[in-house]
Amino acid sequence: MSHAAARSLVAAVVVVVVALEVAAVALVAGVAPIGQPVLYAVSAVVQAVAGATIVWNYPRHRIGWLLVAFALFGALFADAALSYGSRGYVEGWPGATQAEVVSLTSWVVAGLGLDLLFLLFPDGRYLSRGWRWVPVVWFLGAVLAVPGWALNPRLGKSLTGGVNPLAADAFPVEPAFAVGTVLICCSLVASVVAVLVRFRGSRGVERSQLKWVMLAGALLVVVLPISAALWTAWPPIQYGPALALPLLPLAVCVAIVRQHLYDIDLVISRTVAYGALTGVLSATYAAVVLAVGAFVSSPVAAATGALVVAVAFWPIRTRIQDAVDRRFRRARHESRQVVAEFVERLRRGDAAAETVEDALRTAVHDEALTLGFRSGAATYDVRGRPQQLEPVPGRRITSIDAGQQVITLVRHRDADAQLVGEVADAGRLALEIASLQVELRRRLEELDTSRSRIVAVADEERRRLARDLHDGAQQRLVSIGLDLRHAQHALNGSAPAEVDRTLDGAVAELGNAIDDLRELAAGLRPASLDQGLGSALRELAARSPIPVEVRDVPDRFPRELEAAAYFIACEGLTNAVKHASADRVVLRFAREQDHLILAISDDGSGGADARRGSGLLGLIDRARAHGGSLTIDSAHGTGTQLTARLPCE
Amino acid sequence: MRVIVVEDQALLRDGLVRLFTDKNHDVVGSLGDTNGLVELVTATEPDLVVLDLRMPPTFTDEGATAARTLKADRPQLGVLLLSQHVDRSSVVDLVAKPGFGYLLKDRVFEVDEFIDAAQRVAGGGSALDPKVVSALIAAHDEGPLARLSARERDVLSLMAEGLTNNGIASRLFLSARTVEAHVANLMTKLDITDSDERHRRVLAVLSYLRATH
Repeated sequence: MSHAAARSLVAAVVVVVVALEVAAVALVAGVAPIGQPVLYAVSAVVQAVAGATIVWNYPRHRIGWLLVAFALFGALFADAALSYGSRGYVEGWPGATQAEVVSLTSWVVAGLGLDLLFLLFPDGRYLSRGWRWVPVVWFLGAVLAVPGWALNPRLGKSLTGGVNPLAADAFPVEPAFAVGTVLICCSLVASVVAVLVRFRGSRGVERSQLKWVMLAGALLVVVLPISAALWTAWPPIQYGPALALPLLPLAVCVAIVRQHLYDIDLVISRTVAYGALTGVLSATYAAVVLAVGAFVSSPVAAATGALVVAVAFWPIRTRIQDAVDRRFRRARHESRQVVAEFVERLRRGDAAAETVEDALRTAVHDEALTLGFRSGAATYDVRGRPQQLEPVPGRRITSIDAGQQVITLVRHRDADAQLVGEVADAGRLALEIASLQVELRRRLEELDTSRSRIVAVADEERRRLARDLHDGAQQRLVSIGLDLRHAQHALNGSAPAEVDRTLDGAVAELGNAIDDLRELAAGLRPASLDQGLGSALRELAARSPIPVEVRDVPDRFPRELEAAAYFIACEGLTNAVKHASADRVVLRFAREQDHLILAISDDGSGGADARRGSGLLGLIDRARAHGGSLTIDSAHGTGTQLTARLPCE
Repeated sequence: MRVIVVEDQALLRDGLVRLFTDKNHDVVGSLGDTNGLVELVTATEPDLVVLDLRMPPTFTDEGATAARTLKADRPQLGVLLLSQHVDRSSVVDLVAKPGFGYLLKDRVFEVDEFIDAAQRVAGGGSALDPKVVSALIAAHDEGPLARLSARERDVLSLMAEGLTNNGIASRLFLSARTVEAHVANLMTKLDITDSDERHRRVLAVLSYLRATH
């Protein structure tokens, strides 16, 4: 059957059920109280709609069809038939009493729906082939119980007319009814056992689904016997089954269609807790009223009882809830415990806030739980790396707020929504600290990036300046010098000797100016750096006032790295000459994995300290700007060694 | 002497052209970059090409590249490189060739010395700027050059500049005999067999520098 056809069919059945129930209520109106027919009508309609909802979503789901079919059966053979019988008896319609008999016997068949529901829920399949015999037993029981009850003279007491017109002496009704009922009960018990067996072996979604049905079943188990016991003693209890029965189809529907939206453990715990609370408070009230009423008037006793109950409400509620949580929501209890312990270790300094993600994963038993920390417009993981945190099928994102601000996003299983919220609440301190750390780390990274950028820009600027000096100012001075020489030549001895001397002097000054500019440019950024670190350093060594030994200069590196190494060497050398009164400096290179190591050792006075003077600080900055580091080893009297480690990948 | 001047800065190019013209040399062509240089050399058969080291398009070592091309086809052609600063590695393979010179640009202020150097290069000799020489020597402070005394290094530098023993003697205010003794000593220290021919000595030294680079 196609999806659309299935939907049309269940919609039609729902319409029929509603029509039948409306008719049933209308028929009874005027001849009998309509309270019970209305409640049973509601019950049948709820079951039909619940089944239809399942079919609407999953057209092939047997449970949906089961609910719909038995809702229709109940509407027709139990409710409509009973109403027809009641009204027909008054109006003298044909077959009225027979309809009543059918209605009062229908439970034998209707109960099979419950039997099958327990056996087939939640996936519409038997646990194993052996369980197929359970409904067969019911069927055999029904074959005996239906005639055993329909033909039974005792049924007459329940009929409006008081006499069962179908009563037959020829058929052994009592033995048939007794054996049939036993078989039916056995089948029902077996179906309940099937649910329990299924529950024991279940996990995850199936377990939650079974819990829904078991909760509704447990309520029925409580309500139905109480209703039966008090059926005649306290007539209002007759509404009980009608109110309780729709719970089962509702639970089935929620379990199959919307299971992930609700936390069944929470529902169970709340139900049990408030049930117990009601019981305890009622008993307290009754006891107080009885005890106090022995001494004073009953209004005072009632007021005292109310007061005691009001005062006891919160403490009792809290205790009961705790006890129930421990029993029914062990997962939640243990999860909170795990997180609370983690926060405690964090307080003591035994745990790092960065491990909060692991703690939450352990707490909710979900290795794929992911935390995202908001900083600016982006999201970062717990180690400060940017990440995209999107919902994926079966997982959603919950945001944890501090004040007005979202600090953390948690991506978790849909089913864990409630649990994650509570666990995150317990671990809020850890989340806030982790969030601040991520923020701090990101800021530091930004700082490093901007430092590198500044150094790179400054280096490029030096390079540009040096080139401008060479190609601009120096060239111009050379051509002016040439002009002067030409003028001198043109004068050709005709000018006074003084003019000749002046021109010679001017040209000599130009030469000095060019030398100065050359030195300046070399200091800004030696052109020899274009030819590699080796040539630049050898040139630097040649210019140095003290002997400088350059050892093991490695091959070419990226331009920025060579500039960094060069300026570190330069500054280190200046330092050795100026401050350490060294006689000799050694520049040594080495390559360790992906780092270029540059060591500058002198034999000077030592005692260098980065906190005094900006030279060494500048070196440290430069090394860090390239993601490297610089260590200063300088005891008094033993010389100084600067060691720069620069990453070169 | 027939000269071609290749220099990208117009003012400087004109100044160089005038300098040679003033000294009665024949400037047979001038260019702003190395495009068409080989054709111009073929057409005019000059004795000397004066080249700026850094020229368009990249302003790195176009002059050295052009010098290499020219010397490959015409080993006899004199090539004189000019630059603003010492660029050792661009020229290290060229310095040992006969008829090659490398001077800083401001050497042109000493017009007579400059013209001397240019003529020496045009005649198959060498002319290296003292700063170039000291950069070359500084690059080898780990090798056998470390065994030379300060005075011997001075002598070697001047030899490398292309000066004769007499020239070295007058530059250093020493007697010619003393200079000869220094030359003999440093040749021994450098394990270079001496010969009478002056350029051979220089070239030997420069070859040595290049070989140990």
